[in-house]
Amino acid sequence: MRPGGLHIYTTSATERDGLALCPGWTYGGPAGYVYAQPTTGAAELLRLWKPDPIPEYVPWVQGDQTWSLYLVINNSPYPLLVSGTRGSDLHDVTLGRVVPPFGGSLEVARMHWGIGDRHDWVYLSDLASPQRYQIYADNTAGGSYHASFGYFDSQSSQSHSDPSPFPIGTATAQWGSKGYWIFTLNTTPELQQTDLQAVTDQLGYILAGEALEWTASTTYDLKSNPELAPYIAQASASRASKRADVRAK
Amino acid sequence: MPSDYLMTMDVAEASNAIKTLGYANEQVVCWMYTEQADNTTPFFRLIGPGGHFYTASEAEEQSLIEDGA
Repeated sequence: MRPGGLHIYTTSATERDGLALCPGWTYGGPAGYVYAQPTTGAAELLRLWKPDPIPEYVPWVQGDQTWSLYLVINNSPYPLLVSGTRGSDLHDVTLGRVVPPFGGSLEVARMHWGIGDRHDWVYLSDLASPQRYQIYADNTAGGSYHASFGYFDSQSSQSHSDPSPFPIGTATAQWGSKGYWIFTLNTTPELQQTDLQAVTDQLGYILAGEALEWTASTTYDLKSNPELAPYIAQASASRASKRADVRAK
Repeated sequence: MPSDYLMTMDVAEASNAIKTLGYANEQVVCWMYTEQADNTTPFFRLIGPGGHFYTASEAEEQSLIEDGA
C-alpha cells in the first residue's frame, strides 16, 4: 500500500465505475495494458484480498436495552447501497451509506438484543448490477436466532423471511458471537429480474450523491407501490434545485 | 475496504495466502508474460508496512523504495 491509500487494479470497466462511486475512491487512469485472454507465453495474474476484520463489538447499551448490530461484509466487486428497511424493530439504519466492494464492511442497523421477539429487513441495492437484496435477522423470545441474505422480495414475512434465496455459496448470514449479525456477500448474484426500484436507487445515488430517503415500514417497490412515483419525481426535482442553488453560489 | 490486496502469478503463493494469511476470493484478472517480451515493460510489486503496491513505472518503484514504502 502506498502511503495515502490503497490501490485496486482491474480490467473490468464495470468494477472501475462501481468503485468510483464509493466515497474516497477516484479513477487513476490505465496502469498499463495486459491481455484479457490467455496468450501464448503468458500466465494468469491472480488477485486476492483480505476483507475488513470484524470490529470489536462494543455493547450498545441504552438504559436497560442492549442492541445487536447488523454488519455487512461485501466481498463482491461492486458497491452496495443501503437503500431501505422494513419494520420497526431496527434502529439507526444507515440509509444512503455504501458498503464498499472488495471486502469492505459497514454496520447498517441495530436491533434490540435478547428482549422479546425481534425481526426485520434491511435492503441493499447493488450499484453496478441494478437489483436489490435483503438481509434479515430474527431473535425470538424463545432464544432462537435466524438470519438470511437473499434477493429482495416484497412477499417476505417472519415465517417466510427469504422467499427468493440466492444460489448456494453466494452469501452467508449468521449470528456472530460478539453481538453482530454478520451478512457476507461472497460474489455478485446472477441478475434475477429487472428491478425498477434498484435502478431508481442507482440513479438517485449517482445524480444526487445520496440515496433517496424513504420512511420505514415501506417495501419500496414501484410495481406494487406506483403511488411512490410522484414522490420520486418530487425528490429528484428537489435535489436538482438544490444542486442548481449550489452551482449559483 | 480490504486491509490488503494481493496480486500474484504464483499459484502456490496464492494458495498459501488463502490457507494461512487470511486472503480470500482468488480471481484471474488478466494474463501477463512471466518473462520479458518485446515491447513490454515490467510490472513491479512492492511490499511495505501497509501492504502491497503495484506499478509499471520504474521511477515510481524507485521512489517508493527510497521512501521506505
